[in-house]
Amino acid sequence: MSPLADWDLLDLFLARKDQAAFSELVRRHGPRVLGACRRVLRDADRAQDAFQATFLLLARKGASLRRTGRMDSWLYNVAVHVSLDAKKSAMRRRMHEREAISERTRPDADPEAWERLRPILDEELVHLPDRYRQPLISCYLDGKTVEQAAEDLGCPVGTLATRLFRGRELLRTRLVQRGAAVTGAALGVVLAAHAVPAVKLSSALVAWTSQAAAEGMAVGIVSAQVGALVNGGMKAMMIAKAKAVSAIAAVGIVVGGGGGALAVHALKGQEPAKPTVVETARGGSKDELSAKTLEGVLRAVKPQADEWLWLKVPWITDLWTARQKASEEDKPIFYFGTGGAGFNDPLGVC
Amino acid sequence: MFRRTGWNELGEKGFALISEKFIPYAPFWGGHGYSNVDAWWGKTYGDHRFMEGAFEGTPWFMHTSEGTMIKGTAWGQKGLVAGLEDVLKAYRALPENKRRAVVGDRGTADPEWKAASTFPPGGLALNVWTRPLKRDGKGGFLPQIEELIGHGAPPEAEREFGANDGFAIHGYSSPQRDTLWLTEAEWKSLVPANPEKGQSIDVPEPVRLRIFLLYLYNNSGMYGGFWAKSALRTGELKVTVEDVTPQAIRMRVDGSALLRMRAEDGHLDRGLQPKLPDKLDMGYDCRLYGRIHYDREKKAITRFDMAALGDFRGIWCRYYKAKPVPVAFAFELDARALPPERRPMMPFGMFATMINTSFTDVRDYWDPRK
Repeated sequence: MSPLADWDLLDLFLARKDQAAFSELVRRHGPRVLGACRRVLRDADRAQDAFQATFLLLARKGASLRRTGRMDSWLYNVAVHVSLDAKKSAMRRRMHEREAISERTRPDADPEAWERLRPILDEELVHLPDRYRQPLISCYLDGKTVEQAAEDLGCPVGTLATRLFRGRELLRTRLVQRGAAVTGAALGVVLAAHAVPAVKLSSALVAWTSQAAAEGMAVGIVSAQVGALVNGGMKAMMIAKAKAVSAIAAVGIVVGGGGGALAVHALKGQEPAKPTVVETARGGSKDELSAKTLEGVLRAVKPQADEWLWLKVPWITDLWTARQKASEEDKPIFYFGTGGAGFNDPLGVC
Repeated sequence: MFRRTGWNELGEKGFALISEKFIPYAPFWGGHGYSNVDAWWGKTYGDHRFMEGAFEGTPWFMHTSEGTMIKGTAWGQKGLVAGLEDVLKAYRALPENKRRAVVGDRGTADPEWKAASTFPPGGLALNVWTRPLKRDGKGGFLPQIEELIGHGAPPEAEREFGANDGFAIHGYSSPQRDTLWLTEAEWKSLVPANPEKGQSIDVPEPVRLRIFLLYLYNNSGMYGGFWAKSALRTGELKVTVEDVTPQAIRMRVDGSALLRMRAEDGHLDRGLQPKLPDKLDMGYDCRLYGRIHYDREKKAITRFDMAALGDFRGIWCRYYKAKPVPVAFAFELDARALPPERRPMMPFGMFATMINTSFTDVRDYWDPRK
């Protein structure tokens, strides 16, 4: 008999308070959730609190979640945000206690790429589109092979490899914005080197979390810290939901409205709010385009004499073709790389 | 050898040297489309520590087909061309097995990538250029460069874009490029079978929407500006026959488009643009005008020049321009004998597919109504 799907297990739990069904969900997705909590918090105890809070939020919000998205993606997003909340709370406490400790790693102060990336990696991963985030998490953080991840995500191996490549580039761009300068390929190497095999969950943690979910966070079952994290998460979701009702596409509030990709899906079907500011001037420059001015406009837009000179070079854009030609003609390859964006691309083909 | 550079730095002599003595390779950042190619790329370029920090510029690498990086002296005092000559000497000193690799198979193909990178047989490719313009005081226009860097942008933008030995200024101020693809059936539908002077044809809706939604956007950077499907408020485009002879049909193409939306509806990624204000409205109100010539003997379109001109308001590079700026687009026939991979359409390039949530499936390109 094939195993029940995630959402079926959740429905079973919600309908019958079936603790075994919830335990199965914790076992299935717990390693990824705990791994994310640990990377963000770097503290085993606080990571465990965030882990529990994540699954308790699943139990509490489960009935209102849309069944069209992936549960593991929702859990990952919630785990990262709950952990970030926990991290902020801890920082506030420390400041209050006048402990001058900065949680944030300073990229320049630490030569190790992994140490630069780890504190911000999950924060940035949650902002990637699901189709690129999932392969990165599966391959680099869960330690799965490309083939395993492709099977898990239900797409061809080639597609998975390409999404992995693209996702890595987008993640790199985000990390660079945060001050962690790293190239796409180097990022892949660093992530691969630090890919962790699935985090081991203790049976006690699974049982404890499932019991807390089944008993509705009864007093004495969960700690005050976990309770605070759950309440904080609930509040964030309510705020996001309110914003969604106001038709503000709060894509950035990843925890809200069903969380992450689910929130985006929920909002996509809504009619976009009408802009309030844009009223392009009546007439304006459009009135200056005519048969008489056409040639002049085209001339002004197209490259001037000193622009795009590098287009004269017969660039090959296919790496395998370039390698084969280089081997046949016994010539070195001149790689004209890009920063990854259209403006920054030799051929403008980003 | 590795170096970060401004694009034109090599000059004519350098570009000639690269064309003749090297295999010039510029990656298409939509990925490589095959599992083994992506893996080789990651291994070869990822193992080199000097790629660290390469983000801020356009890097050059010189390596063999086997993947060995070649040392050179382009950093030194002899100049870039002399540096490339040194690379060639170093290359020739390498053993043959390092220079001439047996290149294996590409691995598993990615169907999604293939669909987005395969030029339609018999199709028509149009270069699309765009940039802001300024009035020349004589009723015409000139390229606008100051608008991108100085006007209305915060001081850090000026510092950022004005740095890097002219690289950034050149990058941002040059016209941005794209390619519009039309299938054979689509371009043929623009030419009336029995043409008469004054006859008018509406440009088919999929083509019209493709032009409006996927090309009339500000691509002066990767940081936003894609239109959501809902952004198009009004838009029309038609072809009118102006002259018919046994040899040719001369047509005029004209129309207009009004695009307006909140930036978030086009999936603005605020994580990449932390300095943007909370409310961002975007708009482009333009006219389109152009000329199409059809050669009846060759059965081919021999001229397709079209411009779009109008006021743009919205995201520019990483900043928001509240004051409307005249922005123009130039569509022209790409008559160069280039392989299809040199003429990819950007709306389904790497960053576009990641950032533009309105159009994530390549089928949307061919019919944006879906």
